[in-house]
Amino acid sequence: MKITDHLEKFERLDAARGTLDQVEDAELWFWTTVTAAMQAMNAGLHAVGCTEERNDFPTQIMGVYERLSEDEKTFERCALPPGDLHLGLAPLFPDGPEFIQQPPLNPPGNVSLGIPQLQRELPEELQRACRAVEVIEEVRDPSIRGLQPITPERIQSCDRAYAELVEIVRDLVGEPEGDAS
Amino acid sequence: MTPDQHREKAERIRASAEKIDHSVYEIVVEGAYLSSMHWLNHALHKMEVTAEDHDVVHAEHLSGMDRGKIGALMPEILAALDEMEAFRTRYVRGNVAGGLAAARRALELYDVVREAAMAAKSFQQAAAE
Repeated sequence: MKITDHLEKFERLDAARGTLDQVEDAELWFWTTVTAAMQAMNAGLHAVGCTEERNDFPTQIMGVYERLSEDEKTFERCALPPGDLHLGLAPLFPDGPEFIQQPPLNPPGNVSLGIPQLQRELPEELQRACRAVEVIEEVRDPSIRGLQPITPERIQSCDRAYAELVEIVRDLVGEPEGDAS
Repeated sequence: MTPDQHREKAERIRASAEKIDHSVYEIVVEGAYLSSMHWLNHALHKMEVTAEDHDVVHAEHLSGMDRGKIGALMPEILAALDEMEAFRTRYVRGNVAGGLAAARRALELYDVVREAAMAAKSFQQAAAE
């Protein structure tokens, strides 16, 4: 999507995030956090030229995007260079242990999934943003899909990482202006 | 996770999604999908297709064998999850027009998955019948 589209989505998601209780609605609060973060992050990646702004959308299969057909009546899937990234499936630090430890996403010998080759090296501020994303992503499997408690400490660390990510992206693109508190 | 633990997670997430205004259709769709995935795992464990220490994360990542087994017993679950996955690509990660309708449909699909999962039984038992 275009940067403006990511930011429009981010603003609505950020507002919805604020309507959920961090404890009572912990799973969906977290999921909204990561969904909003994904939009902000894609805006930042487009802004610095690491990924392409396009009118297509990432599927669960890395590198496979879906777009409207020319007559806008059907959808078609195609392999494309990195546009929007789907953060849960696209570790930005592919040498990190979190990627190696998730063999279902990249079983040994399977080169078809691959790792997106960004259009340019991540600038320093987006490297910090990626680390913030990793802090948020650390909660997803153990506590949202699994049973590890979503402790106040985890909620706070997610909240801080989210605020940092939003601040970085805001500085890069002049938006988003959502409440990241 | 046990089937009951998946059910509890699914119901918590579904209850939280009730608080979301449908103008934020992305989270309505995501809430329906995330809770449906817990119902899918609930069903897979009851069907004894997957062990309780192995949960499926995405319907699109199921093996062909698992899809075949689920499709033989509960094709409506696979169809519903595939439809929701398409919604996530187009309306959550994408900005195709029609998000409100997708949100309404996702909640209907959640009900389909939940009902099928609650009725799930062992694959071997179903085969014997």
